[in-house]
Amino acid sequence: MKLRSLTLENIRRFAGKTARLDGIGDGITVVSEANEFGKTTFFDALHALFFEKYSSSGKTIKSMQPPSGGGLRIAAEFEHDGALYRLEKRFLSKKGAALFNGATNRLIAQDGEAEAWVTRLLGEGDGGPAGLLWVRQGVLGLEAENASQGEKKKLADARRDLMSSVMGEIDAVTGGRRMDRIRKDCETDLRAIATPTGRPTGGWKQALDEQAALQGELETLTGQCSVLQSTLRERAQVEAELFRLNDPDARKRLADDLDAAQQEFGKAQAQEGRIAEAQQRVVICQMEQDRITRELSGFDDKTRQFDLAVSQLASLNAQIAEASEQESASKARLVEARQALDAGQADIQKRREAMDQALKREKRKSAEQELVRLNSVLKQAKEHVDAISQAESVLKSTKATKADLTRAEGLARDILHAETVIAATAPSLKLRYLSDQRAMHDGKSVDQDGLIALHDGSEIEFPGVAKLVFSSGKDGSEQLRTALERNRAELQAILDNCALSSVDELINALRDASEAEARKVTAKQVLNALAPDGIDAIHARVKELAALGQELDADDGEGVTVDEARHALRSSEDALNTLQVASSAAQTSYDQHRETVIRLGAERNVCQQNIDRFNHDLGDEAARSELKSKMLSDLATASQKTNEATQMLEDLRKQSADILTVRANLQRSEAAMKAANDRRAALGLRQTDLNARIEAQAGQGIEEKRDETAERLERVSQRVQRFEDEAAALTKLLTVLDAMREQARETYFGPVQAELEPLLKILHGEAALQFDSDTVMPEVLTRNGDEERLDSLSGGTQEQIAILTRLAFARLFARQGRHVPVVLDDALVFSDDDRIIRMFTALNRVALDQQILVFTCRQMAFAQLGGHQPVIQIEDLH
Amino acid sequence: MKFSGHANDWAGLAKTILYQRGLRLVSYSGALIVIRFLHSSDLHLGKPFGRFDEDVRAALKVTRQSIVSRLGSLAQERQASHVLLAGDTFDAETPPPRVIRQMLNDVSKYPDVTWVILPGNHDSLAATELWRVLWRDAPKNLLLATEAEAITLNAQTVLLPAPCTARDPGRDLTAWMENHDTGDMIRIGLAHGSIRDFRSSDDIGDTNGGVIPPDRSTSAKLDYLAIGDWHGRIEVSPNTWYSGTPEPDSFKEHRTDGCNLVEISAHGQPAKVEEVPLGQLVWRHLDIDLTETDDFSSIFHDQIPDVHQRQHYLFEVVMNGRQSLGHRQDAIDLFKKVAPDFLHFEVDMSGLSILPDTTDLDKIDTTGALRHAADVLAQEAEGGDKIAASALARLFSYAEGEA
Repeated sequence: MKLRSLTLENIRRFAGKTARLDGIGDGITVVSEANEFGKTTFFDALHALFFEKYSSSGKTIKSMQPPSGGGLRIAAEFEHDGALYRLEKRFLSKKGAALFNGATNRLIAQDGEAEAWVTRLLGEGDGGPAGLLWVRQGVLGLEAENASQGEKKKLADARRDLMSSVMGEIDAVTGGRRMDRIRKDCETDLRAIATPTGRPTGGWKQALDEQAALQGELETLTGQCSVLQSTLRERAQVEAELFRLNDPDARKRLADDLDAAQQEFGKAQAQEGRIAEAQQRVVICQMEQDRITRELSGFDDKTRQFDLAVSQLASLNAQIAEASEQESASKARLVEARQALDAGQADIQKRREAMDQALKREKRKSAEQELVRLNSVLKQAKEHVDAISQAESVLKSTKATKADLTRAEGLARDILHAETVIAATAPSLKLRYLSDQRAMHDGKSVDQDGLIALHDGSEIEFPGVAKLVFSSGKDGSEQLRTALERNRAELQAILDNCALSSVDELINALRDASEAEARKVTAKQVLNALAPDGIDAIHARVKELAALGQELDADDGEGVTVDEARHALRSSEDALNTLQVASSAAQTSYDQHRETVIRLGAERNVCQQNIDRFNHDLGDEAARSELKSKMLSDLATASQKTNEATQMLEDLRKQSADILTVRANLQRSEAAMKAANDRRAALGLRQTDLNARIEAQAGQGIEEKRDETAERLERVSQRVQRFEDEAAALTKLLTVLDAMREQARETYFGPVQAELEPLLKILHGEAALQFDSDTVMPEVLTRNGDEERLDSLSGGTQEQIAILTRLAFARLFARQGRHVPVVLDDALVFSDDDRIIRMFTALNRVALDQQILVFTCRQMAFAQLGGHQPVIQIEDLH
Repeated sequence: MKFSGHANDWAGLAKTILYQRGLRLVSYSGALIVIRFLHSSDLHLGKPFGRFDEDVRAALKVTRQSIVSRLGSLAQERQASHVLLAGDTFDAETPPPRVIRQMLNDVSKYPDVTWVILPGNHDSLAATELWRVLWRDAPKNLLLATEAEAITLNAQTVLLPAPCTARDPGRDLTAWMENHDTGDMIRIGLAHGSIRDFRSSDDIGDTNGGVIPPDRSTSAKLDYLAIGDWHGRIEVSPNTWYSGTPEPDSFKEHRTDGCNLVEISAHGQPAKVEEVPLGQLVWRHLDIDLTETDDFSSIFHDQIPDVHQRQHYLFEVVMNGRQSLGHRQDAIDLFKKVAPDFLHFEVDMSGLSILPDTTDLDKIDTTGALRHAADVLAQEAEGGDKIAASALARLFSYAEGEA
């Protein structure tokens, strides 16, 4: 397009007037007028004609209205593709646009169509037509110091405005504002889901957060389901184990096992009892044996005493009589004891039968047995206690001591010796009766041919006749008699002290005491064996067992129990033992009495005959031998019994089971039963707990929640993937758009740089200009290798560069066959003389094939520019 | 009632007597029917449907839960004495109490109908807690077939169940049926699992290989073998059937969802099977393979249901093939327009390649950077770059929005 004329009506200072500029040529056209002439008005009108709609009443149009108001009319003639056109627009009043054929003045288009025709002519987009390049007056955007932000923005917009005339052309290849909007839409959509660094935001982040939350929820629910399944499995195991534990057969086996162990333990305990009893029997038998042994020893002593007693002549007959009576009595007791013994044995037999029956009926409680046993023990103990009491009583009543006996025996010997001597030396008198009347000697009847030893003082009485008193008159036996009397007195004193009348009584007393001591010892030993812990302990235990026995007796209604039978048997046995003891004692007593009789008889015989026979007559040998044999036999019997008891004890021990093993078995069985019960109880509690947990967990429907969460997670994951794909697609789109725009710019600015280079050379020698790819603004000037930002350059240099840039674009367009007029309004105001000449050179260079319209008030400076200088004609409106 | 001595009168008399005694014998074609029952399976009560939106999920769950009531109503209406559920009545081994409770309540609503539940692989006997609750709370008209033992359904009919002992029993649980003699009684088998067949498991069912012999009904002298597991109804043989699920739950193509109404007159006589539709919702999967010349809109409109039915549909569209940018955008616009009509509507266009033509690209721009960008993306899309294809589609939509 090439401008040819411009007409203004009623524009600003041309109010009510028409101002016309004709003769705009192809090259440089200079409109040089003074200030305030209206040069800028022409520029603004030209701009408004091509870029403002006729219907506009905006600030740009309003600013061109004169103070007197009224409508505005602007018209321009221009050439395009070899044809002349005239474009007119009326603003504010009688608004309209018209396009005429400049040659024929034929109306080509009107109003909107006219404006559309112009828009097509100038290219797409608004504000940046490719059909016009301009530099406004003073619009360089020089930044004052301390400029405010608003001022800075204004100045930045002003600088952009320098290049805005080429923006349309640039937009055509870079996509322009459409590219910007698409890019903005794309970036808006991308920023809605991603940050500039590519991190998810908005819906994408929400989806990711939801995905993470669902993932966590799924993991939790999966864990809970796993716990639930584990709980269900555990409950199944618990129930299976409970089923096994509650199996009737299994429980019966445990119970039977326990029962058998208890029975076996009971038997072992009973066996232990029998062993204890056998041990007691052994002790008793041993003690009996010891007693007999002691008796045998005593017999030997008695024999020795018999030897001493031989000398006892005087009391032998009475003693013999007494002894005979005792013998008879003891014999009777012996018979009685043997009868009792027989009865006892028969009773034992019955008891044993009863025991057998009891054993056959039922198992007796051990407590009753023990009670009976203890009662028996108590009874025995009591007997032995009584025996001890009796023995102690005997001991207490015995005042004689062994010393007394020794002394008395000595005195008796001395007395006997003295009497013997006296008798031997004393005259003797032998009475031979002629009638039945008998003499008395010392109160005793003298038998026929009885020999009477006469001693001093002896009296022989002939009843009814006379009493002879012998007096020896010899001094030689006086001493002996004195001694005899002394000894007798002493002996008597001893006997009186012991409350006895004879040495024999003393011997018997001491013998009884010895026997009592032996019985006491024996009884104590037996008592100790029967009650090692004392009788009180047995009484206490009996009390306990009695109470327990009452309960057992309450339940027991048929026949005697084993314990009773055993007790009865034992009682019978004990009684038998007692009877045996009594029998033995009776036997012993009988023997003793018999022996005494015999001994006394022997002594009497000895005494009857002489001292020598007395010394040799120890009694009836056969009797003594028999007695001793008997005692030896008893000893053998007792020894045998002891051996038998010991053997029985050993047999019992062999037969009995190891009670520790039996007890251990019982403990095992009890522990097994307890363990089963405890396990059953524990499993029951566990089952209850598991049921509660399962009910709670299953009641929450966690499997359903888990499955639902898994599906929701899958859905969200798909949504996340879609966001990712969308972000990738939008990013891809942005990348491609930017790349293509950059490529277009590079493609576009290349030729611009080529056009700009010679122009820069005119001004700055070897220099290069770099453009900002986004703002399409010159940005950096490189001179002599130094890069200088444009806004750091002087105002004049910036001004020059802005114009040169326009000129380069214009040349580019021209080469493309699109001629674009360049309009300069009071440009180069900051250029010095040298630079302005160079600029003029550059302008002229470009004007060779470029239309340049220059408005200036610097008439003298621009006189060197050259070019065509038309005159503006101003006329009043008609 | 008049009695003439005619044979029909005898039958009528018998029917009257039997009715009075509570036995359900209803005649058809003049013959006495010994038993009439419904065969269904795979209710999957409590199925979560998590892949759907919350409102769709709720609707699916409510519809599913009402299956039992519908079966009961159908049984009453058609005078069926029994309802046999061949496994997978519940979707999970520990369903929420409300699912179980509501199911039992619905069963008890029809006290004249006897229900039989068989453990399937989803609700096998390993789900001890579930079966414990069922045993505890089951109404009187509910039988739990948890043992491989015959159940007498009526005086002339016996049921031979094969309950699933675990999720994957791995053996033929129906084998015992062969050796169980029931004389002249009608024999009905009830099982859950896959038929051992030459078809793949994808064709047969979702479980691990078939274990039930296809000729089980013959070898065990069954008059009818009711099977569950496959969600679509299949006739394996005239007396061996998968009933399928009565309410669909996936987009797999099935025969009409419902249940079987079965009538048997005597042992050895062929069973009469009637397929009864029962589903309330329809799941429809549509595969569309497009070429450049296909008119997607007409194809699509031919396939979608009437607008008044769509709210009962779950519709899934998978598009494959090639379409221009413009047609693709048209399809997207169409989907956006019809989607709200459906209960659920989803589209998968990942298999649809973009075939950009000059017209589409011109709509973006005829020249300049925009056009160049479109050209670059089109070329990459042609090479199979899906991201580039998506980017090009977006560029097209932006450009269309600018126009």
